[in-house]
Amino acid sequence: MQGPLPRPGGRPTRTTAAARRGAPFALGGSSDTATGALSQDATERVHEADSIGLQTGHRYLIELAAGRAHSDARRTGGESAGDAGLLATLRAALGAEEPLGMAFEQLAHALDRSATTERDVRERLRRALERCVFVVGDDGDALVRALRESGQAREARWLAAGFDELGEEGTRRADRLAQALLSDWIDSDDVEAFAAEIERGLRMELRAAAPGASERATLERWFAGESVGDLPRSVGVLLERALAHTSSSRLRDRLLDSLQAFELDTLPRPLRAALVRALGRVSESGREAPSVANLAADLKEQLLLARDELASGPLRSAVVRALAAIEAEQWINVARQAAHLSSHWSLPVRSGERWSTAHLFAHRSYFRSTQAATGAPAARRMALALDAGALGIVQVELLVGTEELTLRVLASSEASACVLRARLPELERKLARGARTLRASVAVLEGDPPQALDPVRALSWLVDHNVVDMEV
Amino acid sequence: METHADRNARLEARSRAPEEVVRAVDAALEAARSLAERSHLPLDGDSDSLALLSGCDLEDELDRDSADALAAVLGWLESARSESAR
Repeated sequence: MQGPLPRPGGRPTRTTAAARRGAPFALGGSSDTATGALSQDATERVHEADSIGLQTGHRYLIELAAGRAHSDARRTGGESAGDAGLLATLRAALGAEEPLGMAFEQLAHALDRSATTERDVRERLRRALERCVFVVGDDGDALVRALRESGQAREARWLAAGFDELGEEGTRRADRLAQALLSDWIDSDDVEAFAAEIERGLRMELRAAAPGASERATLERWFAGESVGDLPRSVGVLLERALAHTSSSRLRDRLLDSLQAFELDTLPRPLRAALVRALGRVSESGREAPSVANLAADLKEQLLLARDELASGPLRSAVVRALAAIEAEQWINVARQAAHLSSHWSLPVRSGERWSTAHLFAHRSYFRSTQAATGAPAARRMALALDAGALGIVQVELLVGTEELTLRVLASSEASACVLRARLPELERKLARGARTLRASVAVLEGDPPQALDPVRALSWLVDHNVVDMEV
Repeated sequence: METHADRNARLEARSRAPEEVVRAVDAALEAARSLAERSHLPLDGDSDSLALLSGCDLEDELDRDSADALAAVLGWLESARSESAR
């Protein structure tokens, strides 16, 4: 199928795509017809128009070729239903059919079997690999480190380091963005007065979250990922709450619409932090120089280095496969985020000699007016899925708040559910902490869970049965 | 009161936000490339790809409380699995 695509400018729909300029990209849609157009920043919002007919809920692989007047789109295949189709399409396009855990296990075996030559490379790879495998029994710090250093967030870490490198220039750029946003949001002669109201509201929220602390200190803790009072993780929700303090309801309603339209939470994290500082007029603490050692410890970094240093052979092949598996995970996340789906993180898990891949679906806190309006406490919503051997696929949904932890375990069969239910008190003891209320339950998954333990099939099934896409 | 010049500047600034975002990200990636080059690390790939991939940011999505809960759940599941395998 081939057809002209309009330049961006049409009415945006819920249909979105993730694209690399000039490369095949996956397109998913919720409207019956949609077309894609490649914009300057390459992250696509697809506009309703004529041309390519797409079936609701299906995924396609589209190749875009930018022309002078318009772009041409060609469907190259990969049509299949649901998120599993997107996953399969992207995996096939990237030549990475293996889940990350399997690719890492093969890399570990290749390292064990490889000859004694290129010892330095092997040792560096072995160390990097060890750091990004979660060993059962380790704590939350180890889990975060395993995910962080697995290469799935490598470019985000480089971007953050780049912002730190920019120093004052980064602050100036954030100021310019804040001014541009304020001008976009406020169609009035008195931008400065409204900007002052936003600043006042932001500061009130920061002071309420951590009474007695300076706004700057509170922001620094918040940027570092700490839970601070009931401060929401979402910048959109934070600003929405700040706007609740403004005096003009007319202005507030208009700003809320603008906030929702711009989707601040999709901005890169360092830019979001700089933007909040600019809007709240909160000065920054001294910047620390980026740690190159931390960046170099990333498994993807080490795999890229090893690919260039190793001679052809089984170890280099395992390195190339592991790289492809990481990239597949990353591109799948690019596509999922563009469609406002929860991110999917693969966590290689080792227990003794047994390797498996845990699938973590982490819902980024996008703008939610209800949360801001009701003042509901901030909570993280996530889901974990794991092939638990004889117990089958087990999914666990978690809602982690400062005062309450809600957890629902979903087993593949009633027999597995019985086993897990009997052990629930043990889990409750592990999760008990202070005065936090804990609510845990076990249920049987609805639908037709996969009987076979083939990891590719299981992963596809899990993505199709994405339990985390749920609203409060 | 807003001056004529201020108003013109404000109108010029309208809808400039997406462009400012792209510029800021490009500048940061350029600085990152320079840092990588000095450190002999391979930050290659085209700018569009790097910009898109840099959106996959774990720090946004996992805090210590959630990670502790997930680690406990994984340990619990493994213990249930190994017992049921016996």
